[in-house]
Amino acid sequence: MNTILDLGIYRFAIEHCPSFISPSLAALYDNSLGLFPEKPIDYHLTIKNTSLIRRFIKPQVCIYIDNQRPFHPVKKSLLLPSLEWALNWCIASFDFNHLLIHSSVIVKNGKAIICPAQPGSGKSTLATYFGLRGWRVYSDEMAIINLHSHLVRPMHRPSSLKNKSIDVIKHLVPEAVISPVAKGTHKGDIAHVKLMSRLQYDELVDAEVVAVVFPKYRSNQKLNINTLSQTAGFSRLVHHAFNYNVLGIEGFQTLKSVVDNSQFFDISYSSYDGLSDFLDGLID
Amino acid sequence: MKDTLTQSLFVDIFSTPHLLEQFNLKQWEQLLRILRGADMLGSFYYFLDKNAQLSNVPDFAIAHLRSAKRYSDRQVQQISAETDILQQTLQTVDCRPIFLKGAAYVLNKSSNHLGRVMTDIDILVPKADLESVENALKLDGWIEKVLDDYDQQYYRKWAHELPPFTHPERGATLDVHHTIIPPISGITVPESFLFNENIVLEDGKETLSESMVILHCLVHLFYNEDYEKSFRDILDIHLLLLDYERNEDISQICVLARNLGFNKEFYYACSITDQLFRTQRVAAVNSCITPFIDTRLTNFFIRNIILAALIPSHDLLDKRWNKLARYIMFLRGHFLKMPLGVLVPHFWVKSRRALVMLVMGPHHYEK
Repeated sequence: MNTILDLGIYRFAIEHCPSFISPSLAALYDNSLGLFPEKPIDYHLTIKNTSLIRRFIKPQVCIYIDNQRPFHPVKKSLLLPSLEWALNWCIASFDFNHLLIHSSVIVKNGKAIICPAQPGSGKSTLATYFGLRGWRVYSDEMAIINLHSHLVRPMHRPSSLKNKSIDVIKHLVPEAVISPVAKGTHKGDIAHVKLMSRLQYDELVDAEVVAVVFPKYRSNQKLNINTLSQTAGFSRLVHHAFNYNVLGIEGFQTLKSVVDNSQFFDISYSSYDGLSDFLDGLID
Repeated sequence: MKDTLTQSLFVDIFSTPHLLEQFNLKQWEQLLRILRGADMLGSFYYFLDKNAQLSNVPDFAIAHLRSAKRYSDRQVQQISAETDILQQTLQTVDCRPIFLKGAAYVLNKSSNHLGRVMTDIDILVPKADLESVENALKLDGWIEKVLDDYDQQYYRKWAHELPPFTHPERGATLDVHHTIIPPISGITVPESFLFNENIVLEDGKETLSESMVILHCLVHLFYNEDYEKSFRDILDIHLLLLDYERNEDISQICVLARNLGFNKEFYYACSITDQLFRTQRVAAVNSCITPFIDTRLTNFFIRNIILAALIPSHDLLDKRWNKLARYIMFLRGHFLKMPLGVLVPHFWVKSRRALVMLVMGPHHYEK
């Protein structure tokens, strides 16, 4: 079966998409699944079985991106997280029309806060929580910034939660639409959370970045906020950018514009209560 | 026009770029996939630019081409920086490296350097300097790729290069050659062809002479065993020859090829570019080359095997014959570089090791 995923900015085709993940894709992507079948596709993924024997014993699947196979084969039950990583891989490897920063992006009142962080810092969990509490999540993985307008652009995608974060979100937001948990990936257990419908996505517009918050989840710790200088913020953003080194002068100008318009903070927290007021304050 | 991109339509674009004006979005989508798989997206941007076709490209496709252009522009810039550093590093041991392949195209600003993506930098140094070059590179932070003992001794004994170096800080990869064709092939290119009559650029960097650059490019292609992405190489040869033909007579390369024993390879290049890009090169070199080769057999081989192998490897284009042709070229490439007395033991060791790694895990031979 061939499936189209329209993320708004990018269009993916998934060839030989096995039917067992269709319910998850349908739940997470709703109308973005199979949208505009006549329009051209940016990136093609093909899902293949690894060998004839493996079809029957311990089935494995492999994701190809045209001739490339960036990931190891995985058990069938781990296909959904692998697909999500393959989408990220394509964007990060092939899109040099945007400045890409490893970061989640939350937006309210047309103003964006980006939260760059290393994996495991809690940036996706933070985005997921606020995405289910009135903010719009433009991405839980990368800020996609237009090189001309310097505005951050929205993607229609679910967020991805790891390990304990899954239970945290299930507990805090019991009504959230969450995919089945893929247990035992190389990053641990993974589940995906739907953050908006396609209809809601279609209302979003590119947004100006007004603040950069470097999040760090720490258990049993009060909310701690440190203001950073723009200089320190700039160098930290460079560190988190995927393709700053490739974009040259355009990348510098885009990043400079983001830095000029932004406040910078380091935060550590263990609950989202106090955080909400702080974030609301940044977009007032 | 039908929706699918055929092999002949793909090839015809390069001689008749205005065919693209008729392309619908689905065909553009297929073309971009094939070009990306062949590492040619960036070069294609510049091909369209040169042929004044950019304004006819639909928005969907131009976005992908611009993105690839940005990436390759940066790589070309990086080559300038890396070659600067290499030149300084090797100055400490009084060695002037000759830059080969991609680095040479960039330094010489050949037509084929625009839009290029490169995985490594290649340099050529006299065999006598290998040890001092190796030491100087290590002092500058280059790290020799760790090979298992078999591969290590294979490189040292049979290949025309050292095991690859990487620079972890700068993310670069470097191949150090001491000649342009593996000695095991039985062909020796005299050092005077490699280290004299070179192009010396303003900043003192050196590349092979223009005709040797071309000869090296075609030797590299026709002694190769992997033809998955070789369409780019034949296009390289075509563009380099076009540059050359602007000022010089192509029959001079023909004489050089004959002197060095690359008659057949040069004929392949002329004949294939004639067929793919509608040039008249065989006619131009006819008297110089045809007396020395069996043209009937050679033409048969070109038409049925090489041309089929050169089509970019992609599910959208491949027919069963293309895969088989690539496999024949794979065996041929190995055979050319290794006489049976070496090839058979090599395959024996490699397949035995593959079997052991299958059982013991992929890291069994690492130290």
